Amino acid sequence: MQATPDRLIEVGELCAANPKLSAALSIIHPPTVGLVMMQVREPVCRERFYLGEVVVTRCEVLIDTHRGWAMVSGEDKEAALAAALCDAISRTHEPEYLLLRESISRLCDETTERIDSSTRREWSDLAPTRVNFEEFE
Amino acid sequence: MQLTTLTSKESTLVFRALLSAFAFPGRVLQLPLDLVSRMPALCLPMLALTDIETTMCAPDQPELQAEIATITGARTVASRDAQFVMHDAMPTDETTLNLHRGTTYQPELGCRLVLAWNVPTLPASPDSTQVKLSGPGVVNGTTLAVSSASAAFLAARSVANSRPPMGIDCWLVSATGEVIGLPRTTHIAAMSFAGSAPGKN
Amino acid sequence: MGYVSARGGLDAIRAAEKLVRTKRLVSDSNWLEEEQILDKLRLLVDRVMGEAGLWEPQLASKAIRQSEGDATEAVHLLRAYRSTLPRLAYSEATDVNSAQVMRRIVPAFQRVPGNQLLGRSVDYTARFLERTADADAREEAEKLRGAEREIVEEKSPPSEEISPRRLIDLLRDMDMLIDRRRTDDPEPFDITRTPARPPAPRSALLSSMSRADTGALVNQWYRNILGPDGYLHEVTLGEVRHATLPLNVRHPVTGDVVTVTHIRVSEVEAIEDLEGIDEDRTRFDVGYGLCFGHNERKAIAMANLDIACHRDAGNTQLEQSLLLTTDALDSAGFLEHLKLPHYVTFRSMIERKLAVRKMRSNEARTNDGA
Repeated sequence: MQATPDRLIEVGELCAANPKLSAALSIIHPPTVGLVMMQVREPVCRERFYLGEVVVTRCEVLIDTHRGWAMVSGEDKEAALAAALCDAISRTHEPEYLLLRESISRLCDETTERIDSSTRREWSDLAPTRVNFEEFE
Repeated sequence: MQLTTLTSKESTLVFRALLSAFAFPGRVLQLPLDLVSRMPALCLPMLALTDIETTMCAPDQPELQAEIATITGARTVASRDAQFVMHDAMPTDETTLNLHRGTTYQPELGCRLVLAWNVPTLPASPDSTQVKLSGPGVVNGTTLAVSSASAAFLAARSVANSRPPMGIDCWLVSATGEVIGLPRTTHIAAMSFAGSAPGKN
Repeated sequence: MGYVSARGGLDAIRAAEKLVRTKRLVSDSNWLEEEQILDKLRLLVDRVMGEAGLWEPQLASKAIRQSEGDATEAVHLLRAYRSTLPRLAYSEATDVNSAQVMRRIVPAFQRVPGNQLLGRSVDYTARFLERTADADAREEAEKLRGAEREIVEEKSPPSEEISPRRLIDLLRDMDMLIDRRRTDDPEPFDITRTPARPPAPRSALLSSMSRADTGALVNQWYRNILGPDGYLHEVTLGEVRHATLPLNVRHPVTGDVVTVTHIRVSEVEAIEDLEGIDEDRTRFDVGYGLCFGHNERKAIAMANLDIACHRDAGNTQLEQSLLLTTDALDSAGFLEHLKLPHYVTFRSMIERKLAVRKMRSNEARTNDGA
């Protein structure tokens, strides 16, 4: 779900092109833009409070007996649908969906690498701003 | 799955019918026919009104209960704790008496009960009784035909509503999507017996 | 003269609406893209999201553009839009200790676990208004862009630096902090559903401050620290952070916790030196501030006011002030309603005054006559 929308949609379109899938597909929740109330646990009293609401798009589908659910950040119905399809497919075992499962797996790896790479890049910007204290004698 | 998510337009139409049913107790209103043709009419109130912030229960129909929970996000709890309760047959007295009646300061927490209602309003039959309705919003002379089986429920309902403002509010839903509202403020008195023609008294 | 109901003006209103829209859309300057606002006015975007209580940077940029830079108006637009969206889920409770910092300083302590990381902040820049010609600035930008591409070393941040142990945990280790950690787990108060009134649970106060108007919160703090209400404060800041937090939701099918996205927050600990007669003077207590986006000023004010409110324990109107007067929309809305026609109200005041005058002059005449 943290994949970039355009890659998600690419894989989603692959899924939709699979004839067995389109026949077996039904929509439980069409892609819906809505809110998630974000709770945090603060460190002083270790109590929860509501920080605020985050806009997301949620979708739920059914492929045969496999339920797929996805929630992506922001308003993006296509990405949410694509992600829900991927979620459902990822839990299938049928050979007809093997290629799709592999595409999804590649997308996950790609996403992890992209996130790691961007974390490293950001750190290379931030690291020079670390303070190295020198003590006076 | 038999049930589908209602669009906001569909849920608005259902809401309006339910609201009018409470505003004019005893009047027969109609839930949208195209919805009734697609899914059990009894489920429509819950589909329209429940969401992630409400609690509900449909103890007679666990499969439908699970579907409603999936679609609306409502939390399934015991009937005594639920804000919305659905029954496809008359609930036992014990069930009715245990439904949440709200509190003095928060009467709105009282349960909304959705009941399958099979008895036609007219004509009277040996098995049915005419009951007269009275109270806020009731048009003078409104009656309701009830079967002997439901008489016990109505008695339990009276007990549940005996300490205003606390009480339970009911919608009676037929298989064809007709709906009658019985808010807690509506008083029901038994009237005529089997055999006599229905009408004003 | 009886009072007259005011009506009409619909044409004028429509014309005014059209005027606003036309002037906003039609101009000689370049079209303002949402991306530019997100990119170049990021701190305004963060502030507006924080005051609306809604995280969605694209929408906030849209709102800022539509409001022509009026932050409170942008908040209004966001809150109005938000009211049309369904609530789909509650997140899992994100432990703030899972934050990954982009900036982290601890004014109270020099050597902290994981380092002081200045990060991206104007705190260390000289406050000279730049007068560089645009052409020169663009040239500089191109050079810097070229240099950026040449970054060679890409290491992963060590976890003790990116999710460092916080100062209050250190103080706890030293037994220097009053321990207010709860053993129960009450449900948070939802200010989006029920207005909070004193005495309110702390979760209501934290939520209210988290989406308060920045200026209002800073003002409350300033007033509080200067002492007209009789407070004695000796606050040193512990953690001051700009960090990311994961938004985690439980997958309804598998039951696993999944990370939907990351949001950014500003987080502050305000360490209070306890000096009250009935307080434990051998220890510190601490307040906590957390808000959307990069808005340190607000988080600092919030943390200070959290501990102030706790110590106040209802003795003054501080809690009431915080709960009821710091919301941007509430306060601006009430203020600006004054612009609506109050013709009837005012006319009736005039008539009342005339009536009183007449009554007095009648009395005077009666007294003369008597």
